[in-house]
Amino acid sequence: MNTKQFNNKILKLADKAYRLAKSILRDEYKAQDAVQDLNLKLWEKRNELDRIENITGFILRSMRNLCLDRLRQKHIENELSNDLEYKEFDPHLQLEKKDMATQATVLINRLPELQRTVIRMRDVEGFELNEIAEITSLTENAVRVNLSRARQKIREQLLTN
Amino acid sequence: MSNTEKINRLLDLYFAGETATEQEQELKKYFTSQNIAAEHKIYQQLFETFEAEKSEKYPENLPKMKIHSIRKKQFKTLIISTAIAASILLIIGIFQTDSNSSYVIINGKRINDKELALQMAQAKINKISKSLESDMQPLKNIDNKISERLKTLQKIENIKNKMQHTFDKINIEL
Repeated sequence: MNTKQFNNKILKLADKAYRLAKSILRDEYKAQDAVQDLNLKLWEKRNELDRIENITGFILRSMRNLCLDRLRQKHIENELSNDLEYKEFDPHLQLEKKDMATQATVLINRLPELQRTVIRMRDVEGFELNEIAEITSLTENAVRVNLSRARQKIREQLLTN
Repeated sequence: MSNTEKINRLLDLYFAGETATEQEQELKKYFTSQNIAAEHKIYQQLFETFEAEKSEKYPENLPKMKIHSIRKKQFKTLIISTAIAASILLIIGIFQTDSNSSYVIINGKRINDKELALQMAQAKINKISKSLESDMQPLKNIDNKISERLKTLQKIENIKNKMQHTFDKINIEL
């Protein structure tokens, strides 16, 4: 893959990769940094990228894995547990809340990582369940379960607020 | 079935995670329209948020493909700046040790002429100063993460300033 092909194929996915990273890391600067790192890694492996059939799935899966590694490095165990809900301790999120984020954004950001990834993949990016399954390395059924849990939780919160 | 009832049914399916893509499209269309029933207003923000997030872009001002070359450049700048700082140290060191005698050594040459020695040193310092400035410029534009690493370089700038200060003092002594 030459520079032109790389720019056309890979970098046009930067927006999707950025939105995914921002959803997982819940911080725009960390997300920008993660996208840069991913681009760098992909650039170094650009000759192998021609062999990949579903480049969108591959890139978003790589983006998610890179972000999850970063969360693991920080030992934020709550992030990786699908049972625990996010408690607001991140000053960036607090800032975001004050500035511009809607109540709905805050509610989505409070979901466990997998649920917020799945709901955004579906409702923001418009991916089919089988595509989300490929990106998250889950079964299609597990994606459906996580999607319904995420949406139910948001509905409950919208109705109680 | 009225439209409100239809939307209620779709919403139930949606929140249970059982809607097909076409049904979700219908909901999105409904919630971006002007005719939202009062009982559905509570969900409007959710669908608006999805639409708003969809248009969020990776910041254009950030380097995309050129990151690798910038990192190389940054590394190169760091090496150059370090080398310059080291040369300043060397020159200042020579001046300091020889400041009480009547000659200086520049590039291994013994120079007895104070005026000439000063001019040469001043020219060197000016050149280094300009070079440092232009080398530092691209670094100022790099994002937050890199600015952390820049602190090391800023220390060099401080050292340079201190050295300039020291040199000024020596200048008076000479």
